[in-house]
Parts: sequence; C-alpha cells; structure tokens
Amino acid sequence: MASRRIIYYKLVILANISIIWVVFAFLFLYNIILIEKELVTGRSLLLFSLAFAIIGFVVSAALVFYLKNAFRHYPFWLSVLIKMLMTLGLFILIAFIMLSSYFVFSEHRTLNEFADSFYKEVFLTRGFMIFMFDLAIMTLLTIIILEVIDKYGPGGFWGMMRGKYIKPRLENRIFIFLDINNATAIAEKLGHKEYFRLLRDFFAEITIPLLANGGEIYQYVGDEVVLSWKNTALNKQRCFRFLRQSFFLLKRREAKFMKRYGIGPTFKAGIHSGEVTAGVIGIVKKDLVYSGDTLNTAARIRSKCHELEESFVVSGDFLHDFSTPFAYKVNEIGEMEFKGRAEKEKLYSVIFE
Amino acid sequence: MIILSVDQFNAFFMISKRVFLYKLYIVFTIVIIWVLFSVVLLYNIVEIKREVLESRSLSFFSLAFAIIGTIVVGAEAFFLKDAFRKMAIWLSTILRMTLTFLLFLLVSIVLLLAYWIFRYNGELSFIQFEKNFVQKVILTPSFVMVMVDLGILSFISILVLEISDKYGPGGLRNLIRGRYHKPRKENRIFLFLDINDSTTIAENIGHEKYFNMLHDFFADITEPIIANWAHIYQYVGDEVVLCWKNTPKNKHRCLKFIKQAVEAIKKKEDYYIKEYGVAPSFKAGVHAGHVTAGYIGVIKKELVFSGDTLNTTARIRSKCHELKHTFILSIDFLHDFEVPEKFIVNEIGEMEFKGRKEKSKVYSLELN
Repeated sequence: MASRRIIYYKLVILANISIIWVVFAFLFLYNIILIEKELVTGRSLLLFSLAFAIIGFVVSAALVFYLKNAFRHYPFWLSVLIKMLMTLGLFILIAFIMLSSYFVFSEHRTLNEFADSFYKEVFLTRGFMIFMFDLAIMTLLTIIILEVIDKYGPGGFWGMMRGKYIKPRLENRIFIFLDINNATAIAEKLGHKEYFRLLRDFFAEITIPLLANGGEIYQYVGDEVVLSWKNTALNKQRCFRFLRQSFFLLKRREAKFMKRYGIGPTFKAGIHSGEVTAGVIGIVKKDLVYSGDTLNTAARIRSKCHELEESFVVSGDFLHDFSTPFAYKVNEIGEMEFKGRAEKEKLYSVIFE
Repeated sequence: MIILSVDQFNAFFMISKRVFLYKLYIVFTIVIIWVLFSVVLLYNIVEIKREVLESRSLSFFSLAFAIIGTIVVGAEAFFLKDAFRKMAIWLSTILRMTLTFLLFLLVSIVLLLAYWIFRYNGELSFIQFEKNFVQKVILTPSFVMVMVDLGILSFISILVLEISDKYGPGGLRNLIRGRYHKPRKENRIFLFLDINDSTTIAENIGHEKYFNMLHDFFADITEPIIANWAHIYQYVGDEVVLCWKNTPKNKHRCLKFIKQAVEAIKKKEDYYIKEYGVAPSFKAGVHAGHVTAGYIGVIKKELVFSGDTLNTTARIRSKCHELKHTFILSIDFLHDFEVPEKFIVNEIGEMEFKGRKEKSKVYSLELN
C-alpha cells in the first residue's frame, strides 16, 4: 500500500526529469533535424519534442518506479550499464510503436511495408545512430540525477539550489532519535556484516512510513537514525503516525526478518522539539547541519528509553500545545534535567491503542 | 586587471600540493565530460553546416574545446567557486555562467586569432579576417547553437562541482566503483574533533554568530584535511569525524593533520577575535580499529561506518575534558607505530574499552 505522499514524491522527481528531457530533446533534435533533412522532412520540431517528452517520461518513469531499486545491491557502474541497456530496449520499442502508428494513421499503409521502410530509411541511417547516442547520454544523465537526489534526500537538492541555508537560520524543529533494540547483542550474534545488512533492511523498511508522513532523514549516527520535521501541530501528529506505522510495519515484516536473520528487529525512539540553528557547513564536504542543545537533549531522551524500559519517550516540550490524538495513550513516566533549565522537565511514554 | 594583494598571492601559491592536485583532479574529470559532449554536439554541428566548417576536422575542434573547457573549469574550480560561496546557487550560477561565457568568448577569439596568424600568415589582413569571422561564424545559427551547448556545459560543470562537494573527496568515485555496495570490514583510524567550550561560546555570541564561526573553523581546517588525505566522515553537532585507512603512513598523516590544523587556526587568531571575540581551539580523540562500512538508506543514501570503534573514539574524545589534555591517542592507534620525533607522546591513564576485560592505556599528544 504505497501511500499518496510517496507517489507524489516520485511524481515530482519524474516531472523535473521530464522537463530536463524536453529541454535536451529540443536541443539535440534541433541539431538532428538540421542534419538529416531527408529523415524528417515535413515533421515539425514541435511534434518531435512532444514525442520525446513522452519517451523521456516513460523511460524515466520506468527508472523512478521500478528500475531504481531493482539493482540496489550491484556496484553503481554495473547497475548503470544494466539500466541503460534496459531503457534503451524500452526506448526502441516505444519509438517503433509510435512511428508505426504515425505511419499507419497518416499514410494509410500496411505495417509490413512500414517495417521494411523503417529499417532502410530510419534504422540504418547515421542520423538515427547519433540520435540513439544522444538518448543514451540522456538516460545516463537521468540515472545520475536520480542517484544525486538520493544523496541529498527529499527536498535537499532544491534547498541547495535555492540557497535556503546559505545563511544560518533559527528553526523550530521536531527530532526523533531512533535506534534498534539490543543492537550490541544482535551484532554479536549475527556478525558485523550480517548486522549491517539487517540495519540496511531496517532503515529501508521505515523509509516508506517516513516518506508517507513527510519526515526528513537528518543523519545516521552509528546505528541510530535522526529524523526531523518542522515543528507544527500537523507535523506532531505525523510524527506520531510515523511511529505507529513503522511499529506495525515491522511487526508485519517480522516473519521476513526472522527467515533472513533469525531476529525480528524492534526499535526505541526519543522525541523532542525545540530551536536549532540550521545551516550548511564544510567546503569539500558540504552538509546541512542542525546545531543546538535540542539535539543533545533528544539524544539523551532516547537513551532514557532503556533506563525507563519504554519504547517511545516524549518530552514535555513536544507535547506542549498539542492535543494527543485518541489512538495514542500518553503517560507521565519520569523527569529529566535539561541543559540550561533550573527545573527538571517531565517525560512521557507513548503507547498505541 | 585583477590585482592580488601580497597575502592573497601568497595564499594562492602556498596551497599545498595535495590541495592543488585534488582540484586538478576535479578539473580533469569535468574536462572529460566536456570533450565527450563537444564530440557529440560538434559532430552534430559539423554535419549541419558544412559550409562553415568545411575542411576543419572534428579532432581539431575537440582539441580546441578541450582547451576552452580546461580554462573555463579551471577558473571555476580555483577561483570562482570560492568567490561566490556565500550566495544562493541559482544566483551564483547565473553570475558564474556569465563570467565563464565572457571568458569563453575571449579564449575562442584568441584561439581564432592564433589560427588566423598561423593559417593565413599575412595573406589576409586581419580586418578582412575579422569581417569574415563575424559574418561567417558569429552570426550563423550554428554558432548560436554552440553557444547554447556551451552554456549548458558550463551549467553542468557548476553542478558537478557542487555535487562532488556534497560527496566529499573520493566519495563519488567510491560510489561509482561500487566499493561499498556490499558491507565490508575495514581497519580505520578515526579522529573526533571538537571545538573547546562550544556551549559557552554559543551562549556568549549567539547561535547565528556561533554557527558562522563553526563554518569558518571547518573552512580553515579544510586545507590540512585535504593535504593529509583525510576523509571527512560526518559532522555530528559541533563535532567533525575524520578517518583514514589504518596504515603507518596514515597514522603519521593523522598526527601531521593535528599539528597543521592547530597552526592554521593560530594563524587566523586575529581574524577570529576581531569577528567573534574569541579564538576557537579544539580537542581531539584518536583511535583505530575495525568497522563495517557500507551504504545505508534509500532516500538518503550515505556511507556509514558501524562498530564499537566509533563509540570508543567518541568516549576517548570526551576524556579530553576529564584528563585535561587536548589530544588523546589510544594504545590501538600507537600499536605498531613509531612516533616521529616532532611529536611527544605521554602515557596519561587508563580507560575501559567495550568488550575488553582489562583497561587499555591512553596517551596524550604534545606538539612542539
């Protein structure tokens, strides 16, 4: 059950890449049309741009929705090669179908005649070869863009382009520190490489509820992942929903994990919200960094989970101005010192009903 | 004419060989992209307008564009990139594209001029040549095409530069080679580096100013980082984690890095005091051991090192405060390593390592 949010996220990427395709197709085709006038006599530039927008859309849709994750465990160059071959095959198929339908509808001739003339007049010409080459470059570019977008995370690439964090800014954000239970014991039992694979699968599973609830992955710190939202009432609700969905998703996947690793991972999480300074740091390795006590406090709340024997611990700051939805039960469970505050602050546990 | 002050002049020639090589490597990679593109695009163009390019060969043009590409990208990587660092990328892209476009125009005119001198050797007056040049080359649609193509190439170059910064030195290459597509066990040196009294400084000067100081601090230690082949693993709050493969040579580099970083910050002390009222200093914990390395994440893919070695290093770093020493090394780091004479290492105490029965020794590093 892929949620609407995830499809939306993928569609945005798709739209962006399709635009790039159209721009390039326009450029390449303008060159091509000038070259091989005999190939494309009479067909307008507009028609071809449109045709290639469609091809670009189909090819990058195949990449975004299916092929991207299919070769995740291969080395990058190998997966690029495989993907390029597959998309090229796909492209030839689409081009053939489109050209043949154009041929049949506009010139009212049989498909046989068409196939014959297709090979002689289109497929074997130099213009077509150049054209294929251009498209291969486009496909390569698409694959690289997809990879780079993954590196930046949702919204990260455009944030960088827009220069959102060029100047540090004060932001009020929600942070979740999330951690696998009994990590050390599991690592010892499975061995480090197997444990790493488990970690990878675990993070891949919780990606779906994360995207569905509009959260962003801030950082992986050791075996921990730090997630973040802007601090709004709606996002607080999403944050709770994310915990709930991840919890039940992992329950559903337990059998799969048991089969593969002999262990069904569960997790604990500490939630806190407050002000942080956000900005881009580094020259040769640029990264968006949140700095401030809020993060340290959130990390300490997460480490309280173990002490208080609770899976999910929430700070009073997070619950401030927020009426808990009825599907969640929140109980006061203890107190903790916050840096820079005279009084101890209350901590709460969350239980799903 | 740009006049460099003595300081800038020195700064430019003082950049270490390794920094220079790193930048050169990036330039080289992008120039390859340029040549590939120019072959494709020019092949198209050559086919279009035979009358313009008549007998000029494709290889000649590729060469010309390799030269233009080198100059343009070189200007980008060495000067322009840092000059517009504080601007939004879309804005700096427009500015940089305009600048590189002008640069390109200049270079191509010089190239054509040279071509004219050698080719015609005075048979044709320059005025005539220029008239020919303007009419037959600049005002043709194919020249405009080339310009547009080059604009796109410049844009791609700028993007590639920006993206390679996101990955850090070597990051992009590791990704393409598929080095970590399967998790692998590696023996690595880790260095946790932290600004002293960060909380106090942040409270005194305010969070925004503190962040700017952090940015300047990390910018200033970048050169020692590259010069000593360190890999920036990640920024955790106000801390930066560096790592190397565990070899004696890299251990030496690690110590050299600490020394050079201290010097780099000291050299800019006046600037920091003028700008922020304090001069930052830092503490560091160094440890070595096995970790599992691999990529994690689907929508935010990162190279992650996992293992107790990292936690131990973090604990060693936090010992700095307790033991009142600026730089602390673990016994595992010093194992099988002869400390060069420039560095003085003293035993200062013991600490518990996870999974070991006996306490392990820790050492302080003194620089002189």
